[in-house]
Amino acid sequence: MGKYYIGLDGGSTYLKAALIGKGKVIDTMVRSTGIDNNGTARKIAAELCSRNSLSPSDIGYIMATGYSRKILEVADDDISEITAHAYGVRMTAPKEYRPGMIIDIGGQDSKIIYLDQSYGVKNFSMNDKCAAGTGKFMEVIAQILETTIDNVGPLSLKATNPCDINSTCVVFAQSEVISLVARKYDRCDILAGMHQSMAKRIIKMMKKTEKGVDILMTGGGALNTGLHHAFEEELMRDVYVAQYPQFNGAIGAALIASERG
Amino acid sequence: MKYLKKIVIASVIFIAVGAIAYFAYLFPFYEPETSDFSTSIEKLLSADYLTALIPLFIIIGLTAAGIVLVIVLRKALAKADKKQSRFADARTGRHRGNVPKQKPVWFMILRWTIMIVFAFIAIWGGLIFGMGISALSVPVLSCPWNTEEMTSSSCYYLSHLNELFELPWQSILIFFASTIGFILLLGRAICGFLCPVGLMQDIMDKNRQKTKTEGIKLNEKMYGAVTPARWALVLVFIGLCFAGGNFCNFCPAVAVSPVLAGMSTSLYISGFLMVLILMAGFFKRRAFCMVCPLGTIMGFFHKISLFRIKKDTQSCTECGACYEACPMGIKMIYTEREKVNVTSANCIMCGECIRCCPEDKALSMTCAGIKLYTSSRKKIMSGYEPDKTGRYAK
Amino acid sequence: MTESIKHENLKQRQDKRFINKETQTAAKYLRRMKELSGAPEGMEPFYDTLERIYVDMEYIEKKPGQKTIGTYCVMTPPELIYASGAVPVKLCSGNYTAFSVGENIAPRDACPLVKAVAGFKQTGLMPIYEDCSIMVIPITCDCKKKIAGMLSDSCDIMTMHIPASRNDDDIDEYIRQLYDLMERLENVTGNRITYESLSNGFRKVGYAQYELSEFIRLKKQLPYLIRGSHAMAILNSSSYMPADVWGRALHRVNAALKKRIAEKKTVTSKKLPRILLTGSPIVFPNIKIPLLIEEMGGIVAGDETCMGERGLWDPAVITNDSFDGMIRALANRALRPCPCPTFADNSQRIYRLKQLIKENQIQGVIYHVLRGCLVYDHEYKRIEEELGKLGIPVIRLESDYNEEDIEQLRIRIEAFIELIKLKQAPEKAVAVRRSF
Repeated sequence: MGKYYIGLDGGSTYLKAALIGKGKVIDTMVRSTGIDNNGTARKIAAELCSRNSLSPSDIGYIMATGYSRKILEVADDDISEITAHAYGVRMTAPKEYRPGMIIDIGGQDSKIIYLDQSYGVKNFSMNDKCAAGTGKFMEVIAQILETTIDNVGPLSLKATNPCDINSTCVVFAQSEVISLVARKYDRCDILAGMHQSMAKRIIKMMKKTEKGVDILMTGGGALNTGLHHAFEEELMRDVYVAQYPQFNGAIGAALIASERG
Repeated sequence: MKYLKKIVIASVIFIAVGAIAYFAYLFPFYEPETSDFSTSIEKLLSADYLTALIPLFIIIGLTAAGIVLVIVLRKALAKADKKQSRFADARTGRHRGNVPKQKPVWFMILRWTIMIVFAFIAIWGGLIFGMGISALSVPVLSCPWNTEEMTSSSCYYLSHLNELFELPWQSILIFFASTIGFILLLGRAICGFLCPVGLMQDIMDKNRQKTKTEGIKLNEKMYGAVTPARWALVLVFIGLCFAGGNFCNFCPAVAVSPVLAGMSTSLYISGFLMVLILMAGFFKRRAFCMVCPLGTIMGFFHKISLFRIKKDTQSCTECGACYEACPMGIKMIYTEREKVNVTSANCIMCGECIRCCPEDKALSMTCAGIKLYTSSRKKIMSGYEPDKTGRYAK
Repeated sequence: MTESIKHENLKQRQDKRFINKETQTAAKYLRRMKELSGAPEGMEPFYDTLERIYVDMEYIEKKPGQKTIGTYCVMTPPELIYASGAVPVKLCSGNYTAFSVGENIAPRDACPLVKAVAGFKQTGLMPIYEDCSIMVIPITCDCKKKIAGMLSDSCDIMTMHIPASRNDDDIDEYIRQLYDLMERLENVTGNRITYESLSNGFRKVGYAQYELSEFIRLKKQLPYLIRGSHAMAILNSSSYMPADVWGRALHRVNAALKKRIAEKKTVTSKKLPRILLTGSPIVFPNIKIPLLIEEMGGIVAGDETCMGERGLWDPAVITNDSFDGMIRALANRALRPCPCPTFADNSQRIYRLKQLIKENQIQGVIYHVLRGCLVYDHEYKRIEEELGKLGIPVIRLESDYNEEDIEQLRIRIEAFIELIKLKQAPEKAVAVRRSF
């Protein structure tokens, strides 16, 4: 009987895995998804075990989530991202966070999840059909500005006078950024402007009645300190960041797995 | 505006017929001046009884004539109207076919049986069964001039309060104890189950339904307009005895109950009013009950008496069928959304709202908390039930 | 000369394309519905009707020479139409192909149902539309009002004013309109509406309602007795079948359901989340939402939509046996119990939802909003609050008549179903693992 559980989060760009046991996160791992989702998942699970000197029989249950969850054969069951994220914050949220709202910024989509007092999902809203306000948006802009996604945050914090980026659409924003570059605007200012525009876009998705509650950021986007800063500026209040933002979904899936197994 | 027109036409006809009724009693073949309260079973079986019934025949004849007059006039008016002429025939003509009706409900059968039995008791009961319990007063409008009532009616002393206090205290006590006892126990269920005047109006309504004649549908405003008339009648009912007259002088029940028991009384105004009430009762179910002073007095106690109309506020769909069916025009029964108890002072417990309610358990009648009669979808739809082969009834 | 022939050919080709596309979509959804497990016996007449109308593109079943009257909404009393010797057909449409045509005619924010109707009328290819002698259009919203004007160019229409409230005066006014409607019907069909024909109209519709009450009563008795998508197919096809034929077909389904109850047989042995569908109408072939719910592991245990259970649920209760009494019953039925958001005060809808939740043991409510259907969208907030007090989760799904948003709908529906499942006790399952 295994006491350890694995959650797999098959996102659009990366496959994230989390190993939990004894009520805490033991190990996490991230791989580029590639074209063989299934193989990557299998490898990542095996590697997680060997790295922590566990045998496969120690794993009680594997739960998949994310966009490719249906095709991961290694998993015993799958669960939608929304539920997984809501579960994940039980473990990853800072102590002072009172459950209210989660902003998840993923590679392909961004979502807002409303929680009740006991971390149950009350409701959620997503941006669909469009890459605006997602990690992809950041990536595209970073490329134009000849930097990497990891540097985007620190760079933007250096900004003194953020530019206005009015387009929310990736394609239009791209041309807007190019024209800003041509007009010799500072790279940091442009990035800060991009973060502001993203934050504005996502805040628009929030319900007016729910704006007062505590907000927690998860997903790969939460690693971006610049975006976090932009959110705090736009909302004019503190925004918490989850402990393993990128792995929040995977941890949530593992937590659900631990309830099942 | 169109209501005003209707009201004017209706009142003109009613007054005309009423006037004829009034003068009808002045015809020489009937001598109303001599009041004769002597009656016996033998008289009921002899030919004398027929002469005694003459005033009743006059009432029935005049009512029928009045109703026909109203229908004919209404048809003529509809034909003259450009918009309504097309359907004038469909609305007023004689019809083939029947509307789909739900199967008879036990509650209604029971109610009719009780009404008929009680009317029998109130008219001939004393002659047959003796006057053993005549000290008990039941608050119904069945005429106490008919001295052979098995139980007496509270209406007499309520409209003769000056006489009441001249009685020995035991009689006063029995009167109040029985009257108030009945009111507290049954409340206005007495109107729906016992009252002979109610029965007469219900019979008129049945006749209208059978002949498929269009009735008069009152709306909220018109029901509201009746309220002052009702209060005025209550004042007259109680107060007239102190002003030198009394309600019995023109009580419509006087024209029926003693006559049926084989007595002859003075009927000038009563007969006239009875014709009006029967005509009104034909077109509007229980028209008199809307203004009945005795019923109004009983209505004060609707919060205490045992019979209640209860509503499951959630299963109600506000379809208004109860309001359409209610002879008293109680709208609250379908608009109420919070209170379970929807009994109102006007409710006569006729159960019509429950019979017409299409939602399971939405409305029910309770007596001391015990459910007597509950609305049911199945019963409402029973008229549409297919035969065994699954074909619908043609 | 050649120019006009060329034009004619082009039109023929376009029409052919439209028909191909339309029939393909309808056939696809019909197949998906048939593929769902657990359909009761006796569903064939309903499938056949939908197939006949949308795949074979034929007229509705009727006697030769009988006129068809097009209606929209539940406010047009079918009893009157049967009384005039005609057959009613409900023209509210859920067609994707017609919708895409209609998008060029109606403004962008108009609701898809109206766009689809406009599309059908524009192409002039849908037999049930072309066959109508007159269309009766209750003005329940601005879109309906304008579509009435649009339709009047190409066919005979009659609009009915729907009041904003349901007072006695409004009912009286509606009765007047019903008399007007009867006059139009008599002129169109050439038959007189008599006491007898009207009461026979009542019998026909009443019989259908009798079977529907029976159907819903059976559904309440045993959870998971029938899938919501199948129920939706039955209820949708009532628009295209004469009421008595529909009632007879439903009678057979009811018999099959009774057998199921006796044998305690359900469509599933699992405890699927029971979902109530409410909001804008769901019209075949736009049944993607019930289909998605049931494909994602939920079950539509009840619906409160006007093309579903609500459409025929309220009977006209005759309290006066006169001719006028029957018309009064119709007017009363059309307005008072109707939880259509076109009425200003529609709090009764919340009570009805609560009742449905109680009766059908509902665990979650999906609120369907057709994009542009403002009146339904307005009521969402209040309903969400009220049901939130009961602890029933509500989710709003906005969609229109195209298939592009199916994936987005799928993820929302799936998350919603999981949300309900997690409230139930988790199923314990242990996986024994040897290797990866």
